[in-house]
Amino acid sequence: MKLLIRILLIAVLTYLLSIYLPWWILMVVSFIVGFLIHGSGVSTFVSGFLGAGLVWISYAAILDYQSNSDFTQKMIELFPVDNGIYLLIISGAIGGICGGLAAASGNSFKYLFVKKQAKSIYH
Amino acid sequence: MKTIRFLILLAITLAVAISLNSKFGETPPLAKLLSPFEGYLQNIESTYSINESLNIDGLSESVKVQFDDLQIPHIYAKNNHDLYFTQGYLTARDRLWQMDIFARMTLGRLSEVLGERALNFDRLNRRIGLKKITHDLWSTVQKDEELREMIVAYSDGVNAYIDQLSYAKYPIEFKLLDYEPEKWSPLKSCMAYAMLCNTLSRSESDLENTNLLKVLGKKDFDLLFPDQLGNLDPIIPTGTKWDFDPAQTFSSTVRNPMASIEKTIDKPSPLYGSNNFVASGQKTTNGNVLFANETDLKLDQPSIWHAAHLNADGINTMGVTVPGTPVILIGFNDSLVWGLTNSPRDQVDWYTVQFKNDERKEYWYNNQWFKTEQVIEKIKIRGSDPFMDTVVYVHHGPVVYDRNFYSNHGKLNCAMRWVAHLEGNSYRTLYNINRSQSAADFKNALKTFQGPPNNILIGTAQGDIGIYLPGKFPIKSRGAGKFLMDGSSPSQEFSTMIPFEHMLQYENPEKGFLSSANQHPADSTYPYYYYDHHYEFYRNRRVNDRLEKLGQVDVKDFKKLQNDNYNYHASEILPTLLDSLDTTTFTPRHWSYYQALSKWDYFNEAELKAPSMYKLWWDILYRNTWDELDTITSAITYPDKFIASYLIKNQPDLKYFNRLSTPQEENASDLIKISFDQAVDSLEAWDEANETDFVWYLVKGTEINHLLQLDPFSFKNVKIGGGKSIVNAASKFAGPSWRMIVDMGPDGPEAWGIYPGSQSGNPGNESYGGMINDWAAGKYYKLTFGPQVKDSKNIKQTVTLLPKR
Repeated sequence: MKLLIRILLIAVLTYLLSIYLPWWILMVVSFIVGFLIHGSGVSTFVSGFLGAGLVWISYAAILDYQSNSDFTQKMIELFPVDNGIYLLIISGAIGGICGGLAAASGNSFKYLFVKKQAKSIYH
Repeated sequence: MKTIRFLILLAITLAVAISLNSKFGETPPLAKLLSPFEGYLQNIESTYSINESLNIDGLSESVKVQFDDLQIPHIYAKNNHDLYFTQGYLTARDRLWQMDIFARMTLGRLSEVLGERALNFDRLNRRIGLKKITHDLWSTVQKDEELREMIVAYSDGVNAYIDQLSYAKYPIEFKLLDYEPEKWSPLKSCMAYAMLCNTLSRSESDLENTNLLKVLGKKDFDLLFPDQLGNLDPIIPTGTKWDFDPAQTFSSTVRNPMASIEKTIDKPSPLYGSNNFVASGQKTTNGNVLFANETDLKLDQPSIWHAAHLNADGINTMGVTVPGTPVILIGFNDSLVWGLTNSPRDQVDWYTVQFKNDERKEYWYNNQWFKTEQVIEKIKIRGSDPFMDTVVYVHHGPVVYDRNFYSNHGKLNCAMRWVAHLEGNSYRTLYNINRSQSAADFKNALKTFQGPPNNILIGTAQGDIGIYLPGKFPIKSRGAGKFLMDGSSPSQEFSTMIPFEHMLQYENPEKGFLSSANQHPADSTYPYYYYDHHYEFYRNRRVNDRLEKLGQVDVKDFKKLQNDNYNYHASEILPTLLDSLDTTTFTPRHWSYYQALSKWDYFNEAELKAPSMYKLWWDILYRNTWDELDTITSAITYPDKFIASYLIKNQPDLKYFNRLSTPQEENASDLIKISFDQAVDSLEAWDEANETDFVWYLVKGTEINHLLQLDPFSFKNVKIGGGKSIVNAASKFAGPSWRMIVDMGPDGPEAWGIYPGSQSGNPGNESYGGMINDWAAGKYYKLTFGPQVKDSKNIKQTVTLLPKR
């Protein structure tokens, strides 16, 4: 349940704030959510990864699809891969990794203030 | 433990974030570029994506803009300020990155964004004075109230656009190179003059000539590089009487130091050229003046030209200009049409400089030591420390070649004297031309024209046609400026200019037409000495031949002539080449090669093989002929193909036709046969190595490359015929950058135009490069102009720009 709430919160906030703020706002969002709704390291990473990653990949896919343009294909030719779809996947992966790491950091930060040792994969 | 875990995790997180937000080598900041919220996906736009109504700070009244089907803005403003402000705003919207990079190129500031790899380019451009010319022009223009207002308004318009730009909407090139658009300035709006001078008046081969003279001797040099030869079909028709007494010409003997220069600076390609031609009412089927112009320049994306239609009190002008420049450079208004072709004239001279000592504070001139001036150019380089380049100035100009730059083993100090360095105000000329109502107005406007030298052709609604070659041309003694000159002697200089009244011009000729195509400006009776190392010998004759033969002409004829693919050079030399072959020794491969060329009608059509076969053979023959010159280690140029062809026909036993690599003595005819054998072998090798046919457009491979040489944003193997020295002058990297045809009817002009590109320079815009295929196919678009604009079905969008309250 916590996982779902985190994913949803990260996704919604990332979407809303990214319209006005630089891309790394997703990391701030993930960090704070990871801090507030803490859980295991893996679980928070996954929520950040999915929350931010899904927003990035789906918004990228929508923009690309709506535009009816081959610009993504042209952009991919600047990189050493050949199919435009990879660029959307890379985009999602970047969003995901950044979100996941930030959420896990936020979670880990929270543990500094938690007295009782919570269950964690590190034990 | 917890703390360490947190710190490690945080460190990894920050490291990932920072690296994805930064540029590594050529790799752009990936997260910024790929974020769907601000990355490349935000650069995707449909053709008409501007808002219907915009509030802009800086306008004084409302401005109406109508975009036609080519996305050309028709701007209706209530005053000059708002007109140029809007032009600046809309040009920036289409071409902001191109403008930024043009300004950086001209001001020697490319290294700031491209790093070390642009340093030599920046050094060269500062040393030859492009930055200084631009600063000088801006200070001249500031004294002219009207011009100052125009340029400041334009600049404010560009900045109004930049100010509302978020990172998401930065042109993609800023994102890829990871830098921010810098504020525009009136100074930057003066860059086009230096840019165009650099392209059109800096071409020279003085030092190469000096090397050749030293190796070949005067007799052979004059044979291979003659000033004039045969029937040149000059711009001012042969036989024209000069109705003036020439101002005093210098008669001092030219002294040329015998230096040997290994490496010379980069120069503009001699492939650039242009054609323009006009027919008077007596020669057109509808009785109107009919006009055509196309400018052959390097073909880039975004295109060098941006089209606009400017309307305000006292101006109703349409045409093209270089982005960043508020005046229309080539175009038309209700009363007249004008067009340009480069008029090659040696405008650059090189002088040796002798410094007193290593401090370089004094130099030897007129038997005494004179003070130099030293300017330190600070070039900022992205990712490293700034580079300080000391440029020494003597009275001739900047010492471009010195111990720090193309030093040629420290032996050479060469000062550059370039007419473009002199004070001038060609901006004023264009401002007035945009508003000219008659041939008389037009000629008056030419008085302030400084350069670069152009053959300016006009046609008016009243029925006048004329060609003018205005600009500053020093009066030189015969032979002066052709080679490196002695900088210590005042007798080697020229300070007076040919008076404006003696300008080369020709008006309303009896034959009913005028044309120019970068050929010699006048025949040998012209009382002033002129020289250039490269004149056109073919396109001019083809245009004039056709106009003579055509009788009454109409728009269709002009379209056809602009796209004419007739290979004049082949038509003159190929019969001789074929006649020299010995068919008794032919293999089947020889036969098929021979027959393909015998049947060819000399048209370089895109899908024919014969033009490729001809070119292959000719190139081999040309290289075999000048093998003697290949042995020269210093910088040289090679003879024009016109001269080579002349020598093949007229001096077949010339020693240059002998090959150094063989013991036998060869003459022209032997060399033609040998070259033919080699061509047949080369074609066989091509057939074995390549999947594609040996058709002309693939062999020629015309490319329209993005300014950053990014392949996905470029267009390769464009299917267009023609070639160098052909009216449709599409070669590999250069070609017709703007084709325009205008019929000057009594009810206002009717015009057609096309350029290989698109108004929007955004590779993410759906219209990007959209005119290229039609351009290659020789199609034209009707340009919407005059009273018909308002209700034309070509108008796709109307936008109102309102001042911000």
